[in-house]
Formats: sequence, structure tokens, C-alpha cells
Amino acid sequence: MKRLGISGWGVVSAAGIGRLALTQRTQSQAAAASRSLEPAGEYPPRELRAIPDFDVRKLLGRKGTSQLDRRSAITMVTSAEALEHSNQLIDDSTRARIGISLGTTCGSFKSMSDYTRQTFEERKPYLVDPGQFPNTVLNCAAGQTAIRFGLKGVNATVAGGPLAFLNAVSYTANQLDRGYADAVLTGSVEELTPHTAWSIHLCAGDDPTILPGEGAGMFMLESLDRLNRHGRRCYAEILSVTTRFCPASELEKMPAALAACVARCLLDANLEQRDIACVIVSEEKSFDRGEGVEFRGLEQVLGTYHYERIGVKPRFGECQAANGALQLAALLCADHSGRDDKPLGLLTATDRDGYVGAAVVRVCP
Amino acid sequence: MRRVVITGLGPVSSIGIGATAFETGLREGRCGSSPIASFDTEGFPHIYAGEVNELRPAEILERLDPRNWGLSAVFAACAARLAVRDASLDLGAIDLQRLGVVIGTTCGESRVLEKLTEELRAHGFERMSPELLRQLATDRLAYGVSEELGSCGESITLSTACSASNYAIGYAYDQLATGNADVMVAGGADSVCRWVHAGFFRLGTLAKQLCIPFDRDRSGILTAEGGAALVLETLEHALARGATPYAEVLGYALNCDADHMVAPNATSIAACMRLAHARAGVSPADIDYICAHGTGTPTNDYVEVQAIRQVFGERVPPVSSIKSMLGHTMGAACGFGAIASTMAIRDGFLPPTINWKNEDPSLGGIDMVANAARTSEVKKVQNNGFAFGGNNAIVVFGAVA
Repeated sequence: MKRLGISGWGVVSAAGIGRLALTQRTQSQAAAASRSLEPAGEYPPRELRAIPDFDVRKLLGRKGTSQLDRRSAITMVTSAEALEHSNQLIDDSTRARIGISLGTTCGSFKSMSDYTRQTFEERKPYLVDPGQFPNTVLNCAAGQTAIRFGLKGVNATVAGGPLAFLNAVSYTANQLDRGYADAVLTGSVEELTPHTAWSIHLCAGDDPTILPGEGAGMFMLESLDRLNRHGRRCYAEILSVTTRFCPASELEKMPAALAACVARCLLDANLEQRDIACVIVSEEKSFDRGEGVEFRGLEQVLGTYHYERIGVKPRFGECQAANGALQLAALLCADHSGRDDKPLGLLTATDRDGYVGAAVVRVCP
Repeated sequence: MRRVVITGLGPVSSIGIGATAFETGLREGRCGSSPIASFDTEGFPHIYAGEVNELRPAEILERLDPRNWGLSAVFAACAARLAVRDASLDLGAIDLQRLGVVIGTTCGESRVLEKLTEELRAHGFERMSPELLRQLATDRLAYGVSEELGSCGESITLSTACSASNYAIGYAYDQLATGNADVMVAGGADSVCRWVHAGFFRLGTLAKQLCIPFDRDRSGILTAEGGAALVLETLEHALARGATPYAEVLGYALNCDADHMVAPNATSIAACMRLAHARAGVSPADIDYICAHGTGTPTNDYVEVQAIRQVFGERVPPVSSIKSMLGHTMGAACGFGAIASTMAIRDGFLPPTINWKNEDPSLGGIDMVANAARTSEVKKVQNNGFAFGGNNAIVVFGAVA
């Protein structure tokens, strides 16, 4: 793939709303805050990593925001910040080639479930709220965001859980490489609701360090050529991304598969292992214990080269599809003083179904 | 850029399972509508859908255990296995790391979602079962296919609603054209579910028993389900292993109305068509058949024909809707359209729009291949896909030159 430039970006998470909030929290090393959501009784007995004071109507106004579900609202707020930051001109001469590529786990579990409940609990099973029907489809957030900002290019919603962000980036890289689009707002999102919180809680077993979270990161990706031609600042470059599946009969090969993804990324980007300054993984706890797919995979490919690990989970919580986007956001907000001019970061991700992936990013502080 | 061809077809549908049965269904104008069995229809005035009643996954699947997967993943995996067999593709003889999977969907694992909702209604959130929660993620659809085939390349589920299979085919085409893969399995899957049925009824766009696209008295969709999969490979790879390409993928286009979440926009759809033609290197005059989105709602069919006229002018080729037979299979719809388009090209026939009785004068006299399939030389086909969120995706197929 050709290198992609990030000409602007936005982030919303438990660390706050916006890049500045995240940078301040990251660099002051402030402890992560635990927040509850109303109504508290519906949430599992776990600390939550909710976005503080998230009110879409306050952030974007009342018009066009009242029917949005939480994941669409989060997407829209984050996209607004990214668009503003990237200084894209969006008008009738450009909008047909500016699009969205958004990663998700399953859309909105809550929206689909609440809608299903209405079919059971209303007087008649068809007395569902028609205004809420669009919220039940997985591509609602991307569709609503396109309407709000008038983006008529490619509009893609890419599933993937912990790999959703890498998948969304792969999708965008393809669109840009093929010349189908000029710029694609790329990211991933997850909402915190009783449904996602309980889902995480029930699958976390005995591990108390897994904290249900929410957020989104949206990154305006375009070719370096175009970015330079328009005099836009490049905040980072995504140099390569690779993903791979391991069938269940070969799950023990996941570390090797991840190592192969990383090796492929380095090769595609013309880099060596020693060039990697920092690493952001998706399964931090097992990594720190010297276990798991990412630890064993990176051991195989990066060996003894020294790199720093940037942690994200304690601050953001378990954000499923949004994890990857927040990994990148954390990389961009980290304090890179004392490193090379343009340090290289490696993002990796793995999930319980056998999918692994990696991306190499050059930060341009 | 490498040329990309279709070498295998795997439909799991209400009118036939497997390429032969499906093609017979198309040619005969079989109607897949039946009384709904997958949920309790008490209280619903309309109780018909296009369910897949005859599937026995254990007889098709070779690796996947359907007990551990949701129904949509099972549809996708069965369709993929059928497509691979239809392609006579020996998975043991190819580089599995250069075999990728991309599946489209509207609702993902909707039946799993319903079961979880029943659990939480009855016993509270804390009693949702982890086994079901682990089956819910939408990425499981592509994973189910990868698991069934043992593929080690990419495995991506594109959830762009009712045009998703065209997105999938387009992405697969790109990966092959650029040399990132040698073989791709692309398609879509969805399951009939209660909330979608209710939702379309509430919008006033659910038909009672039959889907009658382009008819003056059309009243809406029938919800439907299934899995559609195609094997795509580079022409080079196909010829090297002695496979017979059925048709070629010439190009595709995507765009977004960015206007309304539900109502389609004719001008935007027309723009998508023009873009697809330009990318495929064809002009409107080259198109022999349009496999319509043709949902059977008053709005869609009218807007779709308007868009077609904006692009094709007076010379509109035959336009038929296989949703008249299948119902609206949501994320699988364009996949079935692609399979039908491929069969049309390979075997020289036009699938019909069945159930048609009365002309709708507002459509201005199109040839919708009313009620009976027709023998015809078909060299180039346009496969339409539109969706909630204004997600338009159109693929152009051609006979292999």
C-alpha cells in the first residue's frame, strides 16, 4: 500500500473529549478516572471507563442529534473534531471523493436489543418506534455522519472487534490506492451501555482488570501527495497494515502469524526491526506477564531490540472496536521527546477467534 | 492490474441451495415466500418471509461445527463451501495465505441478538450466556467462512446494510486486481428476524405475502435470509489450474447519498451508476441487463427506475428483480444478484420479475422480464445495490473476452 498521511484527527474516550484532553491526561500521567453512567443499577459490578460529560446536544447542537444512539453520537463528535483539524475543504467540488471507513463490533447491541424488546413488550409486536429503526443497522453511525457533514464518497462500515480499526485502515488504503477516493475519515467506535458492559463483564471471567469502556478515534487519511499539495500538516503516516486469520485447528500458530504480519509490515515500509521505537498492543496484561499471542509474536520478530510499550487499557478500558483507534491516538499523544525526529510505532491486535494484525505508524510531532 | 473472474457460485436461498437448484429456481420463477417459522408471528398482520427451510448444514460443512456459530455465519460458511466445490477449487493445492474472505451483512448475527434479548428480558443482564455473547460479533460471519475453508489471508465482514455483498465483491476484486491475493471468496449473509420484520412493517413497507417489484400495486418487501458466496480469482490463477471462468468482474463503484437514512436519492444513485460504468470501461449502451435492487417498495422501484433513466436515457435494457422470488435477503441480496448476473452471462438468460400483474405508468414502460425467464445473449450486466444510510454499491460483470 502507498503511505497514508493523517492530516487531522479526533478522539473521545474516558480521558475526555478531544485531543487536548487526551494529551493533557497522558502527559500529566493522571490516573484514569472511573465514571458511572446513569442508571447505575443496570451496570455490572465493575469500574467503568465512560466518556466524562458526554452530551451530544451540547457538543453538536440539537438539530439532527436527538434520535442518535450513543455510538452514532460518539462517532459524529469525534468526526467533527477530525474534520476541523484536517482543514479539508468540503464542498460540491470535493465531497464526492471524501468518505468514511468506520470499524465496529456489532453496531449498537443496545439499539438492536431495545428494538427487539419493543416487539415483545408493546401492545402489538409491530408498534416499534420507526424513528429508531435506522439505529438498528450496523452502518447507522457512518451514514448519519455522512449526512451531517455532506460526505458523498465511499461510506463503509467494517466489522472486526479488536481488529476493526486495522480492518478499517486496510479498507481505506485500498480505496485510496485504487484512486476511488481522495480522503477517507477512518476510525472505529464503541459505546458503553448496559449491553456492552455486561457482555464484557460476563466474558471477562475472574479478571477484575478488564473495565468496560467506550470511545472513538477518527483519522483523516489521504495520500501524502495530496496532503502536501494542499499545504496540510501531516501528523503521522500509516506506512503499512497487514491482517491474517488462523483457523481454530492452528491457534497455536497465532504468535507466528502475528510475527509474519509484523515482518510483512516492516518489509512493505522498507524498515528494520530496530527502527521500531514503541509498541502498542491490544492484550496488555498477558503481554506484561510474558504470555499471549502478542508477547510471543513480537518476541519472534522483534527479538531483543529495545522498544517502549505504550499502555492504553488502564486509561481507556476495554473498548472493543474502538481499541485500535485509541491505540493510535495514544501513540500520537505520547511524549516523544528524547526519541528520533519521527518515531515509529507498531500497533498490534489479536482476538479470541484467531485474527491477528499489525500496522506501522510514523509519528510527525 | 490483473483480470478478475468468477469461477464458483454458492447460493443458500429460499428458492434453491447450490448453483444448480438456484439456477433452476431462477429459470422457473420459483417463489420462495413461505409462512414464517423462525419467530412467533402472533400479533403481526403480515407473516410471510423468504426463509431458508431446507438447509442441512451438517451435510455441507466439512470443518465448521454449526453448534458454535450463529445462523448467519452458518449461511455464509455453507455458501462458501458450495462455491468452492462449484469452482472445483482444491484448497489443498493453493496458497491459503493468499486466499481471503470478505462477507457483507446488514444485521450480522441477528438471531443470536434475539436470543440474548430474550435471556436478558427473562432473567436480567447478568444471565446472558457467554456462549451466545461470543457468537454475536459481526466479524464472525467472515471468520465462519475462513474457519470452514481453512483460509489464512484476510477475513473481513463489511456491514454496509443491503448493498454489502457488492462492497464485498468490489473489495475482493481490488485485492485480486492488485495482486494482494490469488483467490477471494466474497458474498453476504443475513437471517430473518423479528425486529427487522416489525421495523419494515412499521414503515409501511412490508408486503403481505408476495413481493411484486415494479407492479402498480407493489406494497413493500418480504424479509428474507440466506448466504451467497462467489469464488473470485485472477484469470491467470484460474487458467493455470484448468478452471473455466464463468464471467469477469469489470469494475464497481460506491458512493453515499448523504441525504436521508432511509429514503433513496435518484441523482446520487445515477452518479454511482455512471461511476461504475466509467470504472468498468463500459457505456450504458453496452449493458444488456440490469439486476435491480428492486425491493418492491413503492419508493425504491420508482427512484431506481428514475436513476436508470437519468443514465440510460431512452435505451433502458431489461431490468428484473430477483427479490420477487427471494424476498429481500438484506446483506446477501447483491450476492444473490451477482450469482444471478453470472448465470445470466454464462447461460444466456434473463431472470424474471415474478408476481407481476399490472403496469405502473409512473415507471414509463420498462421491460422487467415479467413473470417468465427469457433466453437472451447477455454480455454485460449491471448489479445494483442500495441501502439504508445511502450506501450505494454497483458492480459491472461481463462475459470473459
